Amino acid sequence: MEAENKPTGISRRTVVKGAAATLGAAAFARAMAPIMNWSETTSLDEFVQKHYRELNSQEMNDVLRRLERETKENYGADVTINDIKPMQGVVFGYALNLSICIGCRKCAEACHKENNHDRPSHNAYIRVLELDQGSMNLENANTTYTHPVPAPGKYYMPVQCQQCENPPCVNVCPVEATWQEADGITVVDYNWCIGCRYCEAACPYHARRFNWRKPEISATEINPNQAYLSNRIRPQGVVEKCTFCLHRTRVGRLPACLEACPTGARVFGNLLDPNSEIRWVLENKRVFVLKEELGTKPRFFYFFDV
Amino acid sequence: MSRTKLQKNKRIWGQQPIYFAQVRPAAIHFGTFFSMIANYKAILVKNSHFRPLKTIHLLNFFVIAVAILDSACGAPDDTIVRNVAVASPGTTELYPETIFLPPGIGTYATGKILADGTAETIPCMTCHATIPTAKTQTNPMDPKQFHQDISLVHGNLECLSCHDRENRNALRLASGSLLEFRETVQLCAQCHGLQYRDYTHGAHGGMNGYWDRSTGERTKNGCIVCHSPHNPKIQPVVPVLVPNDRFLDHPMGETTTDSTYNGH
Ligand code: HEC
Ligand code: HEC
Ligand code: HEC
Ligand code: HEC
Repeated sequence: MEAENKPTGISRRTVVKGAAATLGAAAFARAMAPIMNWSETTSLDEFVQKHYRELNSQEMNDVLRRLERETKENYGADVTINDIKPMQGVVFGYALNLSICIGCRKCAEACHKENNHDRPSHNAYIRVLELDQGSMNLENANTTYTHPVPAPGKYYMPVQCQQCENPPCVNVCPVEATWQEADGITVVDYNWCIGCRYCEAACPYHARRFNWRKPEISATEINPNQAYLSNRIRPQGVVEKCTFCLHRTRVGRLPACLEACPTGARVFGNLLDPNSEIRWVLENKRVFVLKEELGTKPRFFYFFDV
Repeated sequence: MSRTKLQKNKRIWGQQPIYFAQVRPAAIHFGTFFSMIANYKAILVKNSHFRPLKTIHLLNFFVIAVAILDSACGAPDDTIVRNVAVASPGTTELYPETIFLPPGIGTYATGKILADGTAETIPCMTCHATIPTAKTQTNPMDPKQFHQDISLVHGNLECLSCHDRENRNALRLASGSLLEFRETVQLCAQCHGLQYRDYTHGAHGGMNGYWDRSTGERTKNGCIVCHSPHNPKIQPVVPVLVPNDRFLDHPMGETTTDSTYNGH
């Protein structure tokens, strides 16, 4: 709502120049080394590409077609990449019933596939925490359990991007490569991100991920329905995050993690529609948000059945 | 369908959602009613003469009085979810919400596989029409001679809490009236009102398809898709996709910070 499309003030090159002046040439060359190494996978077109919000529709179209071509070259897959804008009068909200969730991680698996995550690392935007019943100590949670679930005395809390109304990750970005859109979704321009990972550190929910290497994924496993701001295969060296599957939700569909949930613990919808399922939950269940004291105002809510 | 035209009117622009308020309609209506009376009283006292009431004021009183009556009578705020399109008047047509149930529901699988690869099913009454009801056990928890695969673990229920004694092709409500197998959600609803209420509001049982029903259809699972009627407790499963991003051997020469929450 508050994120309107203002043009970005800083360009990547300004930052690069500033860095050069402070560091001195030798240090600068070393600091730049990783970027230079990546340049094999970074085309010149990509390097000179404008910021997402400065691209007109013709330029955007060129970028999308170029990215589709590059996916074909690098991964051998035919994909469609769209630029999908927020729907008017929609702000997304998500709620999760902790009395119902059994911790099966089907949501994480669906995320893994839907969002074309790197296969070997089992990466996903969702981490499922196993917690002791009666405890809310997130720091002591187990995320790598393999025993049958639900285990006695435990409950499970899937954590993903909370799509904060007040996102701390956005403010720290030195190049405005990440911002909040009108429907409340915080997105990343993966072609603008410089990979400094400030946002990853700023996120109190550990919702952001860094692409340490070029994502590995076989052509047959690639989900071809992609969007520029969400599930297209991310380049190496950039930060990525959950977008509530905007390539699905901005055309009215439910997020992949909700559809995959075999227990029905997840509720998704438009916070501005008083008749939506999500509003019903907010008005009829005692919902809470994670780390409320930080003032991030998450749009991801948790609740227990009483 | 002429959905597109009015679709946008449904959404309220710029209105802040009330996140945490527990809305109690009756209380709010009473509140509004009395504050309106107080307002009018203030006007009367201050001006010490009668203001001509406009039609709109009278209308206000009328609308609020009706709302109070409505909510005070405890009119149910939601009815049964069925396989029909629900359109809110004056706004937009919505796509249907269907309830998924297994195709063979309410029939008996003989165990034979037919030529087309599907399981052979016969109506329950094929046998039960010839088994005199008097001969069948009154309320067996574990049928001795037949249906041995069914062991009932469901509160203190008995077979005939849900199945009809005479007509095995149908279910039976506590009221004694018969219910088609395809309506089993209604069977569960009579004893599990809370879950049923949540279910009708999309907060139990999940869904598939579209969150925005002015754009596309939606499917929900019937209760028995997740809960066996005879043993409804959800059985444990083995979790999938164990994260191993922490052991990533990445080219940057540091360990990732992805050990989130684990403390190691
Ligand atoms: C192949 C024959 C056959 C079919 C088909 C069959 N039943 Fe039965 N059923 C029996 C017999 C025999 C008994 C008696 C078992 C006993 O007394 O232990 C029985 C017992 C029962 C009982 C226990 C209560 C009672 O009357 O003893 C229920 C409930 C029941 N059946 C329901 C069904 C339903 C529902 C179907 C259809 C889905 C069905 N049956 C189909 C043969 C059948
Ligand atoms: C909570 C209500 C309930 C109770 C109690 C109950 N049933 Fe059922 N039963 C159902 C429903 C609903 C179905 C339809 C589900 C299906 O066909 O998958 C069903 C299906 C069946 C079927 C056909 C499907 C199958 O699993 O073979 C048989 C046979 C049956 N019941 C027998 C029994 C017997 C015998 C008992 C007592 C031991 C019993 N039922 C108790 C609700 C109940
Ligand atoms: C006649 C009343 C009645 C009907 C009909 C009924 N139930 Fe139940 N159900 C009960 C009772 C009683 C319990 C036990 C509650 C307890 O132990 O606190 C129960 C327990 C349950 C539980 C919790 C089980 C557990 O151990 O965690 C589930 C889930 C459930 N029922 C689902 C269903 C479904 C699905 C249906 C419809 C097929 C259904 N019930 C129909 C009375 C009913
Ligand atoms: C998508 C799967 C799904 C569907 C559909 C579903 N439930 Fe459940 N239900 C669950 C899960 C998961 C739980 C939590 C069980 C657990 O933790 O053991 C649950 C819990 C319950 C409980 C037990 C609550 C308690 O406190 O123990 C009842 C009763 C129940 N459901 C009834 C229903 C009824 C009635 C319907 C249909 C209107 C329904 N469910 C539909 C998945 C489902």
